[in-house]
Amino acid sequence: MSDPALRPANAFPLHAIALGLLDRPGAAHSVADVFSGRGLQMEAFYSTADSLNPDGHARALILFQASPDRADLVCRVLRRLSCVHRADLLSPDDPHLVQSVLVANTGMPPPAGITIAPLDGQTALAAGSPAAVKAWLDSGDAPPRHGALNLELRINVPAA
Amino acid sequence: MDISVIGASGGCGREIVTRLVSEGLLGRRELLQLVGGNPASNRPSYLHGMRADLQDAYAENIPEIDVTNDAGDIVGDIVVMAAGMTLPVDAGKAGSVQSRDDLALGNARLFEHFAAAVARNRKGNPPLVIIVSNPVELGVHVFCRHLPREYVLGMGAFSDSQRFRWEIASQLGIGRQRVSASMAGEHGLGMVPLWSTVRIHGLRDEELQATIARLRDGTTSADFPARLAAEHAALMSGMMADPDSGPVRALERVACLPPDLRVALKPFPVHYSQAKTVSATATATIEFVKALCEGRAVEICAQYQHLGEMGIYGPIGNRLILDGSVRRVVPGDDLTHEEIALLQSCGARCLKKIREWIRE
Repeated sequence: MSDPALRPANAFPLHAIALGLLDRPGAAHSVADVFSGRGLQMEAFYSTADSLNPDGHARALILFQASPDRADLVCRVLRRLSCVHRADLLSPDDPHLVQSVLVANTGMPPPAGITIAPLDGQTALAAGSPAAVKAWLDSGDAPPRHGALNLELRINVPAA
Repeated sequence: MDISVIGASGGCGREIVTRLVSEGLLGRRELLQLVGGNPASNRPSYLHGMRADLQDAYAENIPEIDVTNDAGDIVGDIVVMAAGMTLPVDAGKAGSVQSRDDLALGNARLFEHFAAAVARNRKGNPPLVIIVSNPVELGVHVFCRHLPREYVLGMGAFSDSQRFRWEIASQLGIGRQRVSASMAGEHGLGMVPLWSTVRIHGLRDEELQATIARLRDGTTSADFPARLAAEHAALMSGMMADPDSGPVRALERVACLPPDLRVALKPFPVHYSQAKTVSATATATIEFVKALCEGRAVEICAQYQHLGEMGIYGPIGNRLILDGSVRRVVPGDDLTHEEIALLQSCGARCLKKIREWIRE
């Protein structure tokens, strides 16, 4: 979660893990140790503990880069922790994942896969899959950011 | 470092788990996985109770303990394979099942089951597997059919080497830590004492050679297999004739033998005394795990699948350099021709036997 410019390039693909966590002290610490103990960095950690989770567990979403084998092992280890109710390894293209970011409202149309909703004359909310948002922000064509990235997992969405 | 112990509810597995926890080898956030070795166990709740008991006993510094009976759940960086049948402890029945060979058919399927499950999920990140169950050479061979051989080691030769060091040290009246020595070959009646590797702290060359000669009492490496076979036969017949006090008399008989024979023979009366060799095996396993966790290259003696190193083929004990996995076999430059020839014939014999067992 440090400045990417200060870190060596990581050639491994991006993964997301969606966790159902017991809402108790030390749970996030246990999860973080699974990554740090293997020399992996969590690029982002998002967590909620509200009533949106139908199974009654807190949800955490973690973005990280690793080889596919290592990502699979990390997910399998997480599943064995007593504080973890479930752990699912997701592709950053997974349609259930929605990454959002506040950007300048320039009126320019976004690329495919990105949706923009103006909030006011200055700021708009852009959203898409983590892979699409990252590619857009890295391309140089995106408007200036007005906030940090956020990640959500869509739940209870009826099939189209 | 996460550790999975397969067969955690068995005598040896339970002792290994208890020692891992009581000695604080794992940190609070590391995972200790207790894996049931028998899916048809008549004690399905045992490991859950054992976990709760360990948490009560060692709450100050206890790792995350996970329980599973599914081989597909194994996630340890180190996997200790301690599941499987053992020899019966009734000396009166020793005649019917008296060698590790007899365990082979019973345990081969178990080795195959767990090896395939570990390999299925861990191709890209193989764990280091330590085989404790017997026949340890069969376990190493079967796991090496599924995992890279650099990641599969057998405990037998490590444990035998610890015993070899102790037998030498005790005869000299010094601590084991002052002796280094390796017992290689096949665990059980096929072991090969590497007297050339014996070093005793504080003894110079001439003193060392004189001390070793005194310890060996005129015996040679070449006649070791025949002496071992003869002593074993005498020992077993004595214990079978008198199951009650036979093990005690056998221990007395063994105590009069040279150190290398004591290493190979003492486990038999210990086992048939019904005390079994649980403590020594578990301690050796813990020492082994500590060596692996050192993070630097260490030399150990353990079963390893040889593919021509020193002219050896087969999963027998030998000296290895480890640095997370096996880096290489220690070259036999310091061994005698007799010792190398014994290792080569031991490897060939062992491989032939294994191939017959599993019809390879």
